[in-house]
Order: sequence, then structure tokens, then C-alpha cells
Amino acid sequence: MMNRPIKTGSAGTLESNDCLVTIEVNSDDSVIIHLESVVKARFGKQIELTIKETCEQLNLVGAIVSVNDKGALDFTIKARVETAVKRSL
Amino acid sequence: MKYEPKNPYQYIGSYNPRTYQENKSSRVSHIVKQVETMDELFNRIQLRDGMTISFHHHLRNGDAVMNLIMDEILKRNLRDITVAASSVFPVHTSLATAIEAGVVTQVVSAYMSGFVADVVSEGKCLYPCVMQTHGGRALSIESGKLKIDVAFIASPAMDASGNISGRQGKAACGSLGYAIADAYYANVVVAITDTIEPLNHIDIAKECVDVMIVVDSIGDPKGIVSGTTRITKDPVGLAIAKRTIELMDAAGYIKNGMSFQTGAGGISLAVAAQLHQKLKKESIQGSFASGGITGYLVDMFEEGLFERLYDVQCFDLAAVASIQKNENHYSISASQYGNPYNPENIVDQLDVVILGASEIDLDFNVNVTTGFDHRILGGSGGHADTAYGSKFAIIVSKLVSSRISVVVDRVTTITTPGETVDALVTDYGIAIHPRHSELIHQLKKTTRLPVVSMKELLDTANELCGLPQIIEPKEKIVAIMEYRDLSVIDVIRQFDPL
Amino acid sequence: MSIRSALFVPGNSAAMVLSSPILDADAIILDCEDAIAMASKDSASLLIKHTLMHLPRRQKQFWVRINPLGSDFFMEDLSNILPSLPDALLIPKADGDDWDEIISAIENIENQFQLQPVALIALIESAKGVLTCEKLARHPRTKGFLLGGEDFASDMGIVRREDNRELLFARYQLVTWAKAFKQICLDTPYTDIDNLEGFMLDCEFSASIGFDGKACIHPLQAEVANEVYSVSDTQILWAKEVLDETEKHSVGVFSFKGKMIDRPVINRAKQIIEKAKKWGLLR
Repeated sequence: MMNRPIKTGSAGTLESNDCLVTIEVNSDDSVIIHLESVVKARFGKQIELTIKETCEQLNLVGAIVSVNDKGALDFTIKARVETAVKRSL
Repeated sequence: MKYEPKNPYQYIGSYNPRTYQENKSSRVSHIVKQVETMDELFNRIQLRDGMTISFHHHLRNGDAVMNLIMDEILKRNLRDITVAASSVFPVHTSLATAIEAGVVTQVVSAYMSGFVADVVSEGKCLYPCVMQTHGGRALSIESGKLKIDVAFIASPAMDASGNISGRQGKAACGSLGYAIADAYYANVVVAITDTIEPLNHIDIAKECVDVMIVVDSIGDPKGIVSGTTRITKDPVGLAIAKRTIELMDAAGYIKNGMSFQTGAGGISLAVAAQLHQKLKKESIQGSFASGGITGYLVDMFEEGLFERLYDVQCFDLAAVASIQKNENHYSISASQYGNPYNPENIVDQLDVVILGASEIDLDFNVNVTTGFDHRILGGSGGHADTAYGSKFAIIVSKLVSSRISVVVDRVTTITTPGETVDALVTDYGIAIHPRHSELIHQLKKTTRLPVVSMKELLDTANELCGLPQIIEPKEKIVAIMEYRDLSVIDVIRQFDPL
Repeated sequence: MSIRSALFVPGNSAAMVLSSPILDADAIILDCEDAIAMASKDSASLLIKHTLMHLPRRQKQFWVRINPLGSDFFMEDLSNILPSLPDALLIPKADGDDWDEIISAIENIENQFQLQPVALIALIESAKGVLTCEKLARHPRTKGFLLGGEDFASDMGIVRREDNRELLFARYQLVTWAKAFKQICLDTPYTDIDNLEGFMLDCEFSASIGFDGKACIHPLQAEVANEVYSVSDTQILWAKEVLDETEKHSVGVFSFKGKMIDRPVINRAKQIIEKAKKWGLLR
């Protein structure tokens, strides 16, 4: 079963060690990821991969996923993405 | 390039650059010339292309003097100037402008942050800058390696005959320790003040001063207390401080006559606050506290927990107030503080110093100069001096904050060599330098302190954060890391923005 | 399970959850309930789920306080959190009437995911909870109790006092039932975080009547609780000597340093050594 957002959902904060995730409705089936991160130079690839994997596990389609990261660890990013996705359905 | 350290770092003592010159304070029947305008000043000092000028940083981010002089230099079409400033702060925008315009071609300093650090990191300064230590700067000037043509000394108060005090005036900053070597050895010394009044205490005698000028304001006293001077409230930081005290105690350093220095970071200050409680509770009296002095150290001193304060720089207004009134709160020069070849230097008498780190590696080398991306963010200040001099140098830090680990495989830049660092205290455990094998054994046997290896800390950090991508700099060398004995310990290459 | 301090940490704060493993508490209680605003309940529940799955736990226990039966979040908390294997669940507003229903909801999910039974700690915070704790104590799934003094007082319609005298009956009742069925019993939080001395006195009293440890709301409290509910170096030394001496005697009763040593004394010595081992106090 695919999960397709029907409204904007967001989760998390902009405090350090956390991230703010916003899910918006996309015009087609694709999932577009935008990442802004204070540690992008060091961990950008790994964070993008974590976001992508989490979206796949949640069977997300048709979404724009924007993550503003303040140095969150992977499990925090996963939790925030999952919460934001659930809030957008 | 006028100032170029060449000897490779081995270990201090292998290289002695000392060839002292006579200092200016012994000049007799000397009269200080007072000038009225900047034109008159520049006519008198005859500043020319290729010269080296110097500044001190006691007014920190409130300093107006460097910008004032740099703006004049920019107007006067001078070229190839070297700026030897004891530290550079974000307020110093005119220096950044002068570097970008090619007017200033080299900076020699113990610390830089803000716009100047950015333009240097980006490779915009013609010659590599030299990053010194506070003690090394004094040595380089006293030994004649670093020749200053004109020293511009921001002077909080002067008397009519040209003596200088840091303790009075609108921008009173207490000690003038970092300006002493400049005053003694610069070819021409210019004192810039906004307050003329009779002085209670003289920091720099008129014999050192050649020219004086009165301006509207030398700086904003509010900027003096910039920087981190608050105790952390974070429970993790407090827990690290508590372990640090337990470590100092177990290693036998908390006892009558102990000497102590701490940086002004949040966790370091928490260590000072907890040491305060412990000394008081157990009626222990220390001999001295030194360094950049904060109100926390003043409180301990005023309660009699330390007999003396040796103050090279006042970090806050409480320290300024104390130096004005307390007899045993002494001003010391940077040379008395940390020059390795000054036989009475204070750092060599230190028992324990508490320091921060932005990176520490498996060999205990510490970086407080650059970020992992090679961008300059600070500098040694007294870090390398006190680590070397003290019997026990403790680095305090959280292991991970905002996904960045303080423990790394290899530091991006060596500020302080690992052989002079003794311990790292983090929230995930304490690493002791392997050369202290007996202490490690003792701690494991008789205390509950979580002693681990640096490798274990690194593994924990990697487990939490993942393996970081390595960031390569560009080829160009933008700065040379000069150790306190004036040898070259590392270089900084140009920052490569992604 | 022996816990001297159990520290509440708000489950939705990434920074606090991250730093919890290194704080001075034997157990961390990641909170989905009172510390979390209604709008953040889902977020806290999921952050705790992912934290438990990935954070290195070291020697520390990680408990989770879920939302109560009857709230909108009870089932969601259970299905998020049980599969991520907390060391215990703290069940709020527990009493004898609801306990079977709660257990069966938990067991449904445990069966669905084929999980080992999780330890359950009943948070007793009502007059009915105090009076019906016998049923909970006798239930095989219950592993311990925690007293919640604030909610208990408001259920009783009374004002909290500095000396906690209003909690006396609840404390004796709870700790006696817990001990009768070999369960752990933790004391109510002390809400004045600036008064560590008052906190210590409170711990000392509760330890003296049998409580194993205390719920804490600040890391500095946990540090004090660990001291008070711990075993002292003198006790450890005594216990070691008693056990050494026991090995030398074939009879069950003997005299050591002028005192009679028999089975209850030997058992107490064993308990002390066990606790000391667990808390890393043996040198």
C-alpha cells in the first residue's frame, strides 16, 4: 500500500541535535528530497540516504520532503520523517 | 613575506631562538610627543610600504583602535603591510578590507575569528599568515625574530606625561599583558587613548611611548566581555565538570598550594565553580590561579581559596574591578605568562589547566584553530603554552554535539601537540594519555571513573554519528602554525567551499 | 532488576534523549505522558521508538512511560514502543480494576510481534491504586511499583507538604505489598529540584522503610539517590567477611566478631554483594 500525502505535515524542531521535516504534496508520483544541514559537508550523503530509505520503508509517493537539519543523528531523522509523513496523510 | 618560521617542530628545548635585545623601558630623559590629528601622527611615524605594525586585543570585540588605524592606512595608499595583532575579532572588518585590497599582505596572530579569518582561509592574503601562541608571540618579539616597526597601543587611560594604565578610563580593561612586548621592542610606539587623567597604577611607562594621540573613543567596553563567560546549565556539561574534579582529585592535584588555570568555555567554568565548592568544603588553599581571569576565579581568590591571581587578560568586568582594588591580583605580561624561555614564566608553575578542543585525535593532538573543513575559527591563544607548562592538562568536551565528534582519527590542524596533553574528559568516558600508565592503573583500581582509551571514544562517536566524509583543502598554504618555541608544527591550507 | 534512581526524560527532546545514556541514573524513563504536549504525542512516541532501536544503551536500563489506558495514544504507544524492546514499561494511573485489560492489550502486541514479555512497572497515583495494589502485586506480569505523589494527592483532594506526611500510608502500603511479592518499589519524585538537601532527607526516609530507589526529575537528584539507596563500603566489607567466614563453617549457625551469623544474615550479605556487583562498587 502506497502512502500519498494529502496535506502538508511537519515534525521536529530547529534545536541543535534535531531537525525539522516538512512533507508537501508533489504534483507527480516522485519523492523529491531537499536537505539543508549544518553538517552537510561531513554527513550530507549519509543523511540523504537515511531520508530516502525511511521514505521507501514508509512506501511514500508523491511527496516533497524538506529537511532542515541541525546535527540530528540518523535515528532522530528517521523518527522526524516518519512523524511528518504520518501527519501529512 | 617578512615573518617566516622555518625550523620544524621536534619537541620544545630542541631549538632555542633566544637572542634578546635591550628593551625601551630603560630610556632616560624621554619625552612623549603628543599629536593632535591623524595626519600629524602619520607624518611623524613615517609608516612606509613593507612595514610591520602591531595591535593588542585587550578590548577584544569592543576594540575600535585597529579599525581606526587600518582606515587611515587604506586612505594613505600604503602597500605590503604586515599586521602583528595578538588576536583578531569579528569587529576588525577594516583589516579584512585591507587584506582583500592587497594593502595588508600578512597577518601574524595567536587567534583570529570573523571576517579576517574568512578572507585568510579563502586564500586572499598574499603571504601565509602565522598563527602563534601567546607565549610564542612574546618570544618572537623579544628575540627579534618578529620586528615591529610601529606598535599602536590602545590605552584605556594615560596621564599627561604619557604613562599608560589599563585599569582606568571609559574602556578600562585591566591587565595590558599582551601589549608589553610590543611596547618594549617596537621601533616606534604610538599610544592611543580617550582618557587623560592622573593614574593610580602604570602598566606601560612613558619611556616606552614615542607618540600619543587622544581620540573620541578607543572602544566599547561592552565588547570586552564578549565570548563565552557563562557556566553551562546543561546537565551533561555539569556531569563532565564533576568527573574532571574527581580526576584532578584522584591524580593528587587538589591540595594545599595547588595552582590552577581554566579557559572561559562553559564546561571549563563549571569545573572552576565545582572546584570552588570543593576547596571551600575541605578547607584547601591554593597558591595561584592564572591566565585570562574571570569573575569565577576572582570569587575564589577573594574568599582566600587562592593567594594570588596572575592576570594576563581580564575576561570580564568583575576581573577588571578586582585588579583595580586587590593587591595580590597581579598584571603579568605575555612573556611572564607563557614565553618558554622566560625563566619565571607562570605556565611552567601551573599544576592543572582545563582547556577546550574542537578536535582531539588518537595521539591526543588538539586542534582549536580550524574547523574540520580547514576554515580558521580561532587559534591557540594560551592553549599550547599552558598545556606544555602545566603538570596536568585536561581537555573537557562533550563527545558529540550536533553530530560532530570531538574525537577524530587525525586532527585537521595541530594547535597543541599530544605529548603535552594529559587527559580528555567527555560524557562517554575519560581518556588518559598512555604515557601515564601508572595513573591509568590507579584510576581503574581505586576509583569509579570511566577510564577508556581514545580509540574506544572514537568508535563510540562513529557508532553514533556514522563515518564523516573527509574534506580536502586546496593546495595553497594560507597559514603556518608556529609552536611556542617558534618552530613550525603544522600548516593550514586554503578552505575549499563546496 | 535493582534500580536506585530512575530519571524522567521528555521523550520528544532529541538533545535530551541523546544525552540520557550518560546521565547518572540506573534507569532512564523516556516519557510519552505528562512531559509531552497533546500535539507532540505522536512525535515523542516515534522518537522513542527509533531511539530505543539505535542508541547504544551500555549498562543502563531504558524504560518508557506510555500514555494511560483510555487515552487516544495508549494503543499507538504500545505498537510503536513494544517492538523496539524497552527494558520496562511504566504504566500510568494503574489500579486493580484496569490491570487485566492493560495486560491483555500488551500481550496482544507481544504475540503479534513474537516478543518476550516486557517488564511492567505500575505507576500508582490514585487512592484506588493504593488500595487495590494487592491485585497488581499478585499478578505475575507486574515487576514493580512506582508511587506518584502529586497525582495521588490531587486524587485525595489534599495539598502536598514539605515532609510528605500525607504520603505515609501510601508509601507503607505500596512498599510492603511490593516486598511481599519480591518486586521493586520506587518512591515518588521530589519536585523542588533546587533543594537537594530536602531531596536527600526524603530519600533517606523512603530507603529506611524499604524503597529500592527513587524517581528523579533532574540528573543531580539521580546522583544523590544513587548514594542514598546504595550499599556503603562498610557494608560491602562486612558482607565479604561474612561470606568468607561462611565458607569456613560447615554448620548453618556460627559466631563471627561476637555476633551470631545465621541464614537471614548470610542472605543479606549475599544481597549486598549482588547489588555492589551490579552497581560496579566492588573493587
